[in-house]
Amino acid sequence: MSSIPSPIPVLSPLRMQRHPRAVVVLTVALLFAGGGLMMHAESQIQVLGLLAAFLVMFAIADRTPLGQDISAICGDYSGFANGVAFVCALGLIVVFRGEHYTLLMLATVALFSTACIALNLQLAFAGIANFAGAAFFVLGSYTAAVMTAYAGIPHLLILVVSGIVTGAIGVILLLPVLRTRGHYAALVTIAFGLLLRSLLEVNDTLGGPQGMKIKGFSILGLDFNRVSSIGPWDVSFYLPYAVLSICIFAVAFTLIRRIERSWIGIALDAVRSDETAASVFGLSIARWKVVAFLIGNAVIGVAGAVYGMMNGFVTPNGSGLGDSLLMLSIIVLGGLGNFWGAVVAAMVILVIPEKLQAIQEFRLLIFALLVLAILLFRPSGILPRPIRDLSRFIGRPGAGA
Amino acid sequence: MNAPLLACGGLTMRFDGLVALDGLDIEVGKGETVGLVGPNGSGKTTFFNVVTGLYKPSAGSVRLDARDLFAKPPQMIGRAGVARTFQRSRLMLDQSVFDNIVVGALCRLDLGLFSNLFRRRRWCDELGGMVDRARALAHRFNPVIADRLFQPAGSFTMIDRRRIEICRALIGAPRLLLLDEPSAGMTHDETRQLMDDLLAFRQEMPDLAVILVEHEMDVIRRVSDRCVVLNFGRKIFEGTFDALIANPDVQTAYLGVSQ
Amino acid sequence: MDVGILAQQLFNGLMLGVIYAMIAVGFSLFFGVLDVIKFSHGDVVTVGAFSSLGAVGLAGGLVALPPVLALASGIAAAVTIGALAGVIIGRVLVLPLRHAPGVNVLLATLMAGTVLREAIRLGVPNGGNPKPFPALLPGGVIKAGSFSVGVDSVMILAAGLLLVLGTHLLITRTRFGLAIRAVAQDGEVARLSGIDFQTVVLGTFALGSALAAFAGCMLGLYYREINFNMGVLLGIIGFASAVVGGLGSMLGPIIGGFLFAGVQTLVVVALPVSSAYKDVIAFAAIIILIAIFPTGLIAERRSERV
Repeated sequence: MSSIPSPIPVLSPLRMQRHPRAVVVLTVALLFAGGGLMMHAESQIQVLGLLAAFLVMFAIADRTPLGQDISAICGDYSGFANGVAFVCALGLIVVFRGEHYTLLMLATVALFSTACIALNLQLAFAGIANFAGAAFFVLGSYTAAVMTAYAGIPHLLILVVSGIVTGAIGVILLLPVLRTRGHYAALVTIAFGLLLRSLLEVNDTLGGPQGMKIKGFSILGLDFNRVSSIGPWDVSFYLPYAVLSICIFAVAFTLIRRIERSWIGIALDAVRSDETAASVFGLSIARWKVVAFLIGNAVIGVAGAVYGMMNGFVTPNGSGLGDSLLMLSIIVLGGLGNFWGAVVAAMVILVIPEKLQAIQEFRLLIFALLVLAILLFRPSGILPRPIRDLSRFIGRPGAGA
Repeated sequence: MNAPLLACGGLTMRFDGLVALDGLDIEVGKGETVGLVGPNGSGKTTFFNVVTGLYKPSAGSVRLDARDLFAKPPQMIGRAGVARTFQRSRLMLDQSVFDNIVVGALCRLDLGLFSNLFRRRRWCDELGGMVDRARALAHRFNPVIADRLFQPAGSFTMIDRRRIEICRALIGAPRLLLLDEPSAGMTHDETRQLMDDLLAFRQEMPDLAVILVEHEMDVIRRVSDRCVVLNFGRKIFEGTFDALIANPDVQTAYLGVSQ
Repeated sequence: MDVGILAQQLFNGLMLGVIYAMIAVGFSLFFGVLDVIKFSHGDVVTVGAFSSLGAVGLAGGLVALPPVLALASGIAAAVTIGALAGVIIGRVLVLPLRHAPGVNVLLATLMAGTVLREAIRLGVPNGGNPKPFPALLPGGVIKAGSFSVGVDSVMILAAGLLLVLGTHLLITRTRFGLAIRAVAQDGEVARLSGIDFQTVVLGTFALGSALAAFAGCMLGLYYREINFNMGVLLGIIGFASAVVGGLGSMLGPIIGGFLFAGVQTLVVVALPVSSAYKDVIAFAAIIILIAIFPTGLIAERRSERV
């Protein structure tokens, strides 16, 4: 740890060590405030200003001793930091309770981040390249569309079924290429994504290119689309969706983080980094690849179902190779295996093109170039995956994610 | 010798046209250390790869105790109690030392999804036990490794990485340990140290059988109870080290070339 | 079924097969010398098609060229720019990333393909829409009973077959081919025996990419229409053909290409589905063929040392 005295007395290393939780709360709150402003901002100047501020903060966190100290503290208290993040996200929802567009943005980022964490499970842990992430996402929406057409089915069950459908289809795709190495899974998933898209476009029972309508989510008699006020406040009907999305994100985050920090996480790392060595030590390569691919696609499917219900419709448009590549760009930019990195990158990739109309048309080109630069010059991404330090769990039961 | 632990009979391995193992018979008893020597390309590593299931042998038999392991998948053989190291270090360099070592015991741990995800209290207890075992094991080879158990394996020197690999092979309490040239890339003293540590550890596991592939004759002499010499995939000698040194066939095939 | 229509389908199948083979050979060559999959290969086909269209348009705008010269300039542009694109991708992306995890190369080349695709879509005027490709080959029709085929189509097919054959001879009979095979066998040993590794690798990229770019040119001439997106499908079909035939071998991808075209044509002929499902069938065929031949007809060389 650095011993250089900080120019800002409040942030001296010693004081930070003494009040680590305060440091965590301030850092996380600041980041979420920035993120909220970014989603809320309307003028291009504001967006550019916020982007510049983010870059400066990143440079500070990455390069200066002060920033590195703060990052280390947040890493040491990651469980606490995640809890604070959840509260901050709910806080953003309260602040923007009446703003349709901001809440939609927030929910979208949460759901795509969920999907990207699932892709991280597949690619960063198990080493399976899934080039059909967007296809599975849209498949989840279509499952919801078909099922909401029947009135009697509880919507929570629809989310579960969407997960099961996408998970099962993924496993069927993976089984034939299990005996082979890396690139075949890539080929099969690319082919599947393109197949799904052309099938959806030509198949009239699923609405063809126009897609399908999806009924809004409702639970315990509460129809999300009809929510217009809570107590004395007028709120957007996107508010319950934003809450639901954050909760789905939190559940997926906890689940996959626990997988990472368990024997299974080590097994996945072993399988990814050296199949030969892993199999010699008694690990079944096929089993762990199937587990990771299944859980990952199921999570993507659930996120897709919620996304579809929130938008009220789904079309084949979002399922193309370009969209799947954007999802992978998110996790590569964020840093393979780093979940919060994926959230930051999802903000950048989803929100910025919406705000800066000038780059909307060029976004695929820009992000492709950005990913190339990352792969060549900083392959571990914006926020590299931290080493798995299990020592923190020794004698600390209950300390999950 | 009573019933051997590992019994290979007529083991043959062909790679289109090339015969890498040619009707090899090798037996290893409980608690025995066998030194496997031979010139480069004589089939030593191929033998390991066949025993561990990485290569599917063309003919013959492989038994561990009474269990048939011939051409079985590697993970099944690993679970049956065969562990090995590799000629070139194969560690997860970005992961912690503990993660690397525990890989050797994973298949004996509870890998159920439910118990890993939702029974965290139990899992933490299990973790504590494994950390203690890994630390004790690492401490035996180098206390520094034990102190830095949660630092990336890539931050260690080559010799420490080799020690980590041996810990990984030992933590699952194997019945048969295959060491593939542990001295490669090490100095004389380092090798001697490693072998001393290994011999000391062996006292605690009297039933562990070891097959050691090694070029350093000094190492072979010190640790092996019996030696087997391979040439062109065939066994050309079997017996004590002293008999090996005196054997003319071995000298022409192997020592004659290198001296 | 009418013999004429059957013959027509057979001709279509052959044409598809030769195009797939030309693309698949590149995948196999790259995998051979570097053990990498270069997913931008399909988009090099598109680059070839658009380069020739651009050259023909440019040349035609300056002077009224006779079709033969316009064609020559188109082919020259396709082959040069295609080879250049291949070499640049090889030099800037694939060689530096060769020791990184395999998936990084995969992602990088996919992204490079995206860059090429988007550059065409945004850079070519009205690039998002299909572009008509001029007819530069002599007209005229060969008739045999109810079977009729354009002279131009026959010429395209013949050119493709000759090129595939020529590439095969180049690999098996020349010094350059020998160097490629030596590097594919063992890069380290080849380097030690005095072969300039990087030159051979980049030469291989140039060769494979030029072949793919020429295929793009042929597609334009045959279908009279090109589009910025065409490389995606062609790329994965080419890759699938190479996989099914056997990555790293020379004959395998050629067989794979024809096999793939055969299956596709057969399904279209045999199954009473609307032509709208053509792409669906192609993608399903890829998945099913990979499921049946996961390691290829000609087994992939196992280079891993334990």
